[in-house]
Amino acid sequence: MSSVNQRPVSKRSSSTIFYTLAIGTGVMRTLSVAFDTVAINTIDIDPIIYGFLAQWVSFIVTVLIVAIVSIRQTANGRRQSLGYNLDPDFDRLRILPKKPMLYLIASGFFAGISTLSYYILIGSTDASNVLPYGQLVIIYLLIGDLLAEKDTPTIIEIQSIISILFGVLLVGATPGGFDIPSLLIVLGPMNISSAFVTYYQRKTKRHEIRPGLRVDSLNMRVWSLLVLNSVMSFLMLPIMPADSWQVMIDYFVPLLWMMVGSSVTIFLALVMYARALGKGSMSIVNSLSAISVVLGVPVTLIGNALVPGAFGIIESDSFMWILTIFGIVLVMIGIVAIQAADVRSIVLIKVKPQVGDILPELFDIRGVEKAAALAGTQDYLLTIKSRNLAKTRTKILEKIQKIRGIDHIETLVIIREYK
Amino acid sequence: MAESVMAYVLMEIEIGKTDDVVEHLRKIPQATKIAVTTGGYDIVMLLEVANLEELYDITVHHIHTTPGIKDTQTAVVEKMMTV
Repeated sequence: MSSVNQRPVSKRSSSTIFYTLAIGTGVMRTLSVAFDTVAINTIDIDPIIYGFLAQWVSFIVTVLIVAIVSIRQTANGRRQSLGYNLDPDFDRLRILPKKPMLYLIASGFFAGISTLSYYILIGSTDASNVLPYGQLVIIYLLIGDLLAEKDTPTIIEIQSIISILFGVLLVGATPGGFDIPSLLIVLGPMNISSAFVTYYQRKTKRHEIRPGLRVDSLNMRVWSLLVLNSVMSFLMLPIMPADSWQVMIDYFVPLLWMMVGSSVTIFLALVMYARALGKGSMSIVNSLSAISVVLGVPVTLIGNALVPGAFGIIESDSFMWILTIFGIVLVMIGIVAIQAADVRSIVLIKVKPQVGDILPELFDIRGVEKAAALAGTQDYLLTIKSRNLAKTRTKILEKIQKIRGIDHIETLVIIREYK
Repeated sequence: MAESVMAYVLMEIEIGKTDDVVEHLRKIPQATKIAVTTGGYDIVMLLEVANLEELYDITVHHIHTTPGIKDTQTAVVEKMMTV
């Protein structure tokens, strides 16, 4: 692994790479769901059996990829692994220290529940529905933040929650009314678990193994996938049909390329997401990667035109399609609105003489995205993010002011940003 | 060794010149982030350069020669923690 300040400067345009990575994340997510949908619809297999098989194939594929990218090469005079290009914090496939490993076990546990829900859903619907369903997690994350901070929601937060919720309800509408079982899975286990997954993954990613070195996204994927698969298998086994093992043996070869396709695309989506986050703000990455919500529709329609029935059951009623598109638009607006509403500021900090290193303390404050120790007149520079200016003061600046040894704070509110 | 150096350049800009200065700064390939801000400084730019020599070249030959910049303060990053 390498520390942040050892990373070479890319010769390509930073903004081109950033936008490619963020949009690429959404495209890869869509392709992954498309592979799963095609597999289940072209080969008449129980989605639960397919899920079991696909997840373990995904684990093997992921371990193989991470093992291959652990191979070292000499570049620019220094030995580094091939995976360095995927995630600069990556060195090799390894067991992580105890604390991040515990976070990953927690993350994997909830991911197991969420993934089981996903496979139950994908058997009864298509990619254009499943992708918006997955975005409901944003509501739970928002509510979780509000509860944790004992905070009142802003109008934008309320608007986004309602927009995403109504959007998901519209996507889940059927000619006979709402698809209640699907919606209960979406509102319940699928997205509540996803919220916990995000929470624990954030904690893992923020954990510093040693100064300047964080947990890399490749090892995170390997270990959380192992726990995910174990939990999911434990939950699946009691509900799997008796002939499941024979079905898996019979269909393993015909399904292999689709399972590998799904594994590789979701792996690339995760790596691209992690790399995009390293280059730009989470809000823009999330907004751009939400393109997956929209892409589900053309992928389903074009896919079904090419291979009839392979991309899920197409609703023939044009009115239902209009409702689905309205739902997708509402979900998309909700995501973009909440991400675009963020207020970002730069905080310059001077400390009194003989104060030790307060960089980790500053970075631990919720809302601090970047903390830098500086040489010069200013001692520290923070990049902070909050929903509005009032929250910048109450939730972040007041916490900074409480740190002992701080002499002077200057806040510069960002009114425009270029990357 | 291919190590990179990061530095923040804090700038005060003449009134009405912000957009022109931003357009000029955006042409610097090593500028990874440019923020227009309110407060004591008008523009904050994050540079990622190969070494201090390159930082010197950018500050002296690009930033200091940009019309509209009143004053600058360059702060080299000793350590950075990021999400």
